[in-house]
Amino acid sequence: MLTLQTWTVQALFIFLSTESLGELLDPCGYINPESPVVQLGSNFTAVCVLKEKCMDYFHVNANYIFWKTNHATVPHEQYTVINRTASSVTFTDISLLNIQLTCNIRTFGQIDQNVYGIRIISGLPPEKPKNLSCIVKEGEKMTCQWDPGRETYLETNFTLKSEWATEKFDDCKTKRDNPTSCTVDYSPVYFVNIEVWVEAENALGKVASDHINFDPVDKVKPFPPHNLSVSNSEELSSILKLTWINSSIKSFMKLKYDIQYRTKDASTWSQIPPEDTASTRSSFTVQDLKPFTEYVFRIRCMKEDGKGFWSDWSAEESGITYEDRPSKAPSFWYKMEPSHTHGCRPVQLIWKTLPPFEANGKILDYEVTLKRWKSHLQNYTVNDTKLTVNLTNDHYIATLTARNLVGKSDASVLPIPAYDFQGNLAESKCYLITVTPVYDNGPGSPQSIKAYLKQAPPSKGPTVRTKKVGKNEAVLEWDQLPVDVQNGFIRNYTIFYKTNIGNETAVNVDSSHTEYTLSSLTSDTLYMVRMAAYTDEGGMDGPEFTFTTPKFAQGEIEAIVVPVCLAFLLTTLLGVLFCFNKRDLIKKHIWPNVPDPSKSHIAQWSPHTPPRHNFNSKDQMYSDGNFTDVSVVEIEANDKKPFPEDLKSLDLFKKEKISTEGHSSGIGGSSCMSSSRPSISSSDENESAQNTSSTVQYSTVVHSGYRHQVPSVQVFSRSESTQPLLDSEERPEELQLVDNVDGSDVILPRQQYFKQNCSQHETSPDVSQFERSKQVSSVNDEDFVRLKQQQISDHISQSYGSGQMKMFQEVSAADAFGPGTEGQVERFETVGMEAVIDEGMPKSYLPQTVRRGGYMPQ
Amino acid sequence: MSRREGSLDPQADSSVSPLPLLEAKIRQTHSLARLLTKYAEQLLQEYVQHQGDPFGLPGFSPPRLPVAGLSAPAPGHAGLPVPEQLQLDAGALAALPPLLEVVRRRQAELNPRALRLLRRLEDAARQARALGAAVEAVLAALGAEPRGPRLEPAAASAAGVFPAKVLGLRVCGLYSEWVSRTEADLSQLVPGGPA
Repeated sequence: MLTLQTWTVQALFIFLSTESLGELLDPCGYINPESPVVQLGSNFTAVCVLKEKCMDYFHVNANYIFWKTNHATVPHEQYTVINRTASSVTFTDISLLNIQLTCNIRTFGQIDQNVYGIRIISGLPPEKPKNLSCIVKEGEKMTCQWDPGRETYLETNFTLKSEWATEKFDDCKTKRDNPTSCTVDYSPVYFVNIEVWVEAENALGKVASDHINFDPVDKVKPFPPHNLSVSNSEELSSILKLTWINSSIKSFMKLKYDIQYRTKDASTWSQIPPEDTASTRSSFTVQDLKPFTEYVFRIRCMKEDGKGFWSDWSAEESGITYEDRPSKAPSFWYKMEPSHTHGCRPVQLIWKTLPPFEANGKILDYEVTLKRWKSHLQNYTVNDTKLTVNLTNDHYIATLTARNLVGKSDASVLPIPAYDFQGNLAESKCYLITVTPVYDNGPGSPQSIKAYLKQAPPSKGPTVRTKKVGKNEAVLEWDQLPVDVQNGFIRNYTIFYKTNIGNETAVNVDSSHTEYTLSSLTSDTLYMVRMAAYTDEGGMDGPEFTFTTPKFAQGEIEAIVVPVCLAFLLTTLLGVLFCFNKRDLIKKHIWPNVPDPSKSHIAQWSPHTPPRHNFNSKDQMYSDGNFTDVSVVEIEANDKKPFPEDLKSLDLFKKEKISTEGHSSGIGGSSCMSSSRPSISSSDENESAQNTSSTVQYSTVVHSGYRHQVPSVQVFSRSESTQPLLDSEERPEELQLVDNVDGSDVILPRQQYFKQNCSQHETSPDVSQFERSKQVSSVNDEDFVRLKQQQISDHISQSYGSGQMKMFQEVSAADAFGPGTEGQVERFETVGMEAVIDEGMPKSYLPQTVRRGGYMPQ
Repeated sequence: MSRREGSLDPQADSSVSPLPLLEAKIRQTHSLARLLTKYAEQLLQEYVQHQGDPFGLPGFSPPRLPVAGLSAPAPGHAGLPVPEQLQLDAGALAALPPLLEVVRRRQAELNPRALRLLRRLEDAARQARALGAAVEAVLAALGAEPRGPRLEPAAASAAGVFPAKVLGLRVCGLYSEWVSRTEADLSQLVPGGPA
C-alpha cells in the first residue's frame, strides 16, 4: 500500500511538473550537445546535466550517471564528474557513423533510469570538387559535372555557380539523386566568357572547386549532320560522294568532320583522314573504293579548332560504287565427253562465276572463242557457266572473257590438246609440269614442278670471274648456267685454283651460290681458277680465269705514305720554327747583312723627310753587321750662326754627297747609306759589324744645324777619304776644351756623336737622340775619335728635343742605316739611349786614311 | 572577375603574348556581335508579332520617336576612326539594357503570356551588357579610353499603350541597329575575317 502511494506520488509529481512546464514529458536531465555531427576520427565529449528536482527525488547526483552507446555501457574510465549535477563522457577517434548515446542514472534499488538520449552522427567534411567540366549541347542548356571527392557520409549539397563579368546567374542546385552534375536554367550565350565553379557544403564544412572560365562556344556538342546521302559516279567506279546538311550552329561556328565508312558486310570502320575534313563543308567525295561495292557511311562534326565535343554520329547511309570492267578472267577448264565419234569429240568447257570483287559489276554474259591452230575461229556468247562444243581431234585454243555493263575482262586461255596427244619428251630437257585439280565447283589452285626425263652433265661449265681481288683474298662470282645447258639439276659447283708453281686446290660450293671468297692467298701472285658445275650425272669445267693478287692491300700504301709525309711535314715545320726563332744567330753566321751601295739614296736624306716616331724595340735585333764603320766628328757650331748658314751647310752637304759618292767604299757610298738593317745591341753583332766595316771607313764633317735653330756642333764623319784630317780631328782635346768652355748643365764624358749630317730636319723625340748616339758609339767603338764636345752633351742632357741634336741624330741614323724606313731609324734611336746612359769608358778615334773628300764641313 | 571580359591581362598567363590574346578577344567580340545581331532581328520580329495590329501590317511605319539617352547610329559613324566608333558602340550598349528592361516590364503588363518575348527581352539586356563589356575590353587593350562618362538614360516611359508599344519597337530597333553597327565596326579589326 505504501508502495502504491509512493508511486502515485511520483506519478503525480511528474505529471504536475510536466504540466507546469507545458510539456508532455519533463526529462530528468539533458545532454549537451543536443544534435552533434562529429567528424570521423575526431574526439567527442558529451555532458549530461541532472535537474535538481530529479536529483532530490531519486536521491542521486552526477556520480550516479552512467553512459550507454547503442545500449552498451561506456567504460567508467571515459567519465568525468564535473560537479554534483554534471558528468561528461569522452570518446576518442570516433569511427562509427551513427551512435545512440544515452545518459542514465542508477536509482535506489539498482533501478536504471534513462535520463536523456542523443544521436551522434559522424561523417567527413566535403572535399574540394575536382575535374569540373561543362558541355553545351546544341539546343540545350549548359550542363556541368564534377568529381565530388570522397564519401562524406553526410548530406552534402553541391551548388553550381556561374557568372559573367557583367552578370551573376542563379545557382544551380543539384538533385539528390545526381549530386555530381547540374544543368543551368538559362540559355547559353556563345562568345561571352563565363566563370563556373562548384560549392560543396555539409554539416562539417563548405568548400569550393577551382573556378573555370571559358567561352561556351568552346564547349559545344553540335547536332550531327543530317540528311546524309551517298551517290556514285559513272565516270569513276572508285568514288562515292557524300552530301549532308549541317546543323544551324554552322552559321557562327566553323566545323570539322569525322567520316567513317565500311563495306556493308564489314564490322570495322575505316576513317577518312581528318586533315581532309578539317573545314566546314556539306559534301565529301570518298575515293579509292572498290567498284560495284556497297559502302555504309556515317559522319559527325565538331568545332573546327577541336575545342568542344564531337557530335553524335549521324544516321548511317549506304551507297554502291559504279561498275568497272571485270578485273580478272574466270577460271576455265574443259571436260571430255565420253561419247567420242570418229573425227569428232564433244568437249564441255566449264568456268566459275567471278566473285563480286573481281566481277566489278553484274556479269551480263561470257564470250568463248575456240581457235584451231591458227585458222578457224569460233565465237560463242553464253549466259551460263558452261558450254559444250563438238571439236575435231585437232589441237584447240579456247579463250574466255566475262562482260559486264562497263566492259570485258581479260581473256583466260585454255589449250585443248589434240585427241591423240602423246608426250614426246626429250632427255636433258627441263619440263615444268603443272597439275590443276578439278573439283565439282571448279578448278583448285595448280601446283607445278620441274622435272627431267633424264639428266646429263652440263653442256658448259660456269664462267668464273673475280669480283674483287685483295692482297690475300679474292671474291669470285659467276652466273647461273642457262637452263638449256644445265641438262639436269645443278647440285654443286667446284672451284679449282692454283698458282703457277703450286698444287691445285678444289673447293665445293653449294649450287645456290653465285659468289665465293678465296682466302689465304699469297700476295703478288698469279692465280689460275676455273669452275665446274655438277648435275647428278657429272660435271663440266668452265674456262680458266687468271688473276694476280696485288702486292699491297688496298690502303696499305696510303697507310705508309701518309704518316711519312706527315712526319716530314712536321719535321720541316719544326725546323722552320726553329730557324725562325734563331734567325738572328743563323743570319749572323751565314749571311750577315751587307749594305748594297746600289741602293744608296742620299737624296732622300732631305731635311724634309717626315719625322719618325715609330719606336719598335723589336727592330733592335737587326744586326749591326749592317753598319759600316762610321766616324762622326761633331764640331761645335756657332750658336749665333744665322739660319741661312744652316741651309748653306745643308747645301754643302748635298754637294759633298754628290762629290763623295764616286769615292765611296764598296760597301756604301756614304755612312748615311751604310746600313739598312741597324742593330747594335749585341756584342757579337758589333764584332760582325766591325768586320764588315773594316774596309769602309770614312768620315764626313757635318755642320749641324736645323732650320732656324743654331747648330751647336759640327759633326765630322769619318770616311776612307785620303784627304788630310782637319785640325780639329787631329786635336780632339782642343775641341773638347772648347765644348767645356761653352758650358753645359750635364756633361756626358767620353760621349761621342760621330754623325754625318744628312740634313734630317724633322723633330724626333729626345729619347731617340740618345739611342742614336749609342748606336754610333757601340758600332765604332775602336775606330771613333772621341771628340768630346760639351755642347753636344748639353743638348743631350738638357733638351733632347732640341732641333740641333735632332738634326745630328737623324743624320747619324741616316748614316748608319741609309735612307731606310722610319722603323730602321727608330730602332737605332732606341739603342742610342742605352749608350748614353751606360757608356762610361772613354774612347778615342783617330782617322786612319783620309781620302779626297773626307771631313768636308757640311 | 578580372580574368573574364577584361581578360587580356598578361599576368594571367605570362607565356602567352598579348597580341594573340587581343586578336582572340577581337574575334570573340566580333562573333558575339554577329550572334546578337541575329538575336536582335529575332527579338524585333517576335516583338512585332505580339503587339497586334497595326504593328504587323506591311504598311505600318511607326514614328521614330526619340529615346531619351540613346540615339541611332549617326550617318557619319562609319567615317570615324575605329576606336571612336567602338567608344560610341560601347556607350550605346551601356544605355540599352535599362531601356530593354523598361520595355520588358511594360510588355509583362501588356503581354504577360508572351513568355518567350519576355525572356528574349531579358536576355537582350544581359547580352547587351556583355557585348558592351567586351567592346570596352577591346578598347582598353587597344589603348583607347573605353568610354566617356556614361549617360544615364532618362526614364523612358510612355503613358498610353500604343506609345508604350511604339517605344518598345523603337528600343528593339535601336538594339538591333547598335549591335549590327558594333559588328561592322569590329569587323575592321578582325584579321582575315571572323572566326
